[in-house]
Amino acid sequence: MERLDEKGQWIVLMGFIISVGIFFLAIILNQSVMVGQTTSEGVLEFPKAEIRDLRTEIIDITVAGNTPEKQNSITTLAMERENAIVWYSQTAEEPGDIYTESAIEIHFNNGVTSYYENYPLFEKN
Amino acid sequence: MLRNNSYSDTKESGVSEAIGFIIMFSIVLTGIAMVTLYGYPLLLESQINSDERTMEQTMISLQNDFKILTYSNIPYRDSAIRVSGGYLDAIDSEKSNDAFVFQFWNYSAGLFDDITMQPGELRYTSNEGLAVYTIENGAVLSRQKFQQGSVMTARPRWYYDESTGTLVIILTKITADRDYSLGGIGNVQMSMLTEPETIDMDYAGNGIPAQDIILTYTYDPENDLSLAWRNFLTGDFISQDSFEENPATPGEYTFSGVSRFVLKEYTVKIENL
Repeated sequence: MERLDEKGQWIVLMGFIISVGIFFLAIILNQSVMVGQTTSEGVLEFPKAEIRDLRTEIIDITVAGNTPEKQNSITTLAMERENAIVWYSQTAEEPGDIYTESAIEIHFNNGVTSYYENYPLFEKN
Repeated sequence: MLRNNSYSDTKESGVSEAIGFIIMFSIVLTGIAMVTLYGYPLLLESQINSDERTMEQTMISLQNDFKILTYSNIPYRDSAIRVSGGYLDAIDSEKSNDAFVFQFWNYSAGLFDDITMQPGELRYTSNEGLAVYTIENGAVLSRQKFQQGSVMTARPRWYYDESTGTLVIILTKITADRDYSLGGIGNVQMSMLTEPETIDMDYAGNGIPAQDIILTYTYDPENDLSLAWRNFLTGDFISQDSFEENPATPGEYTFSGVSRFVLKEYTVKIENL
């Protein structure tokens, strides 16, 4: 009998390997859609700009001189605009040789992100 | 063994060609029959499954649109979606059959006040499958048809801040001028043009002791999401402290020890579907 020509076998084999490869790629692609979505949601929800804005505002207010009215305004504004709970307070001033030291405690919580900061404040004597 | 090249001498000890053909043909036919019988329904089922999964993702992105409208104070939002394997309905808050009732001590009026809120819904119902997804009050909830029980896929932003004892409840009401329904590719146009209604009860700031907030949830018998809400309210999602269900009256939940109670009600209008 005539011998079979086996030279074409690699085509079949490559076809098989490629199809298996595509199958796994499809699985990975399917997963990546979900990963991308949750990651972008996480980035969207993180209130970076809100925290920054409030932080600078609070520091400016405290340096200029804090009053309970200003404190109330910040709390109300944060709830009105950003649905966030914000409070801050200044710790007692400790006089030193060159600087008077105190700190601002800032608390921010909007249900997704909770943020706490102790911002040191130095005033030259 | 010597190799014999002449055809006449080779022994053909196999079956005849006709029988061979019948065997091969029957194998092929059996293969086709198996695929139509088992493979095709399986394929269809996986199609329904993937449709429902895509829709779940779509509902979460719609919830994100709601968040952008409400929390980011953006008046209009238009997003193209594909509703696969079912239809999406907009249900006006007046027509929704479930309700949230909040009872709280109103110190400025000197009485126990209550606020009733019918949330309205965006509801996806699968045609072939059993899934029902609902966007209600800023949450995505899922349920199976003809079965009890429901699950909250994405939570609303209700929270309790421990350092100040503040309970923040953010309600999202959905309104629509008429009944909208969408299947296939379409646009969801939403607007938030009215100001949110805010109730801010600062008990601690006015020298009033911490209060109890009572929430009564009445569920829609046609779309029973009571279990999902119960798990959300009584679980540790709001904070370590949570609502507690009153054993005597199911559907009534109490959150005790609230120093400040903030309730915001946003109204989102579905302009078109």
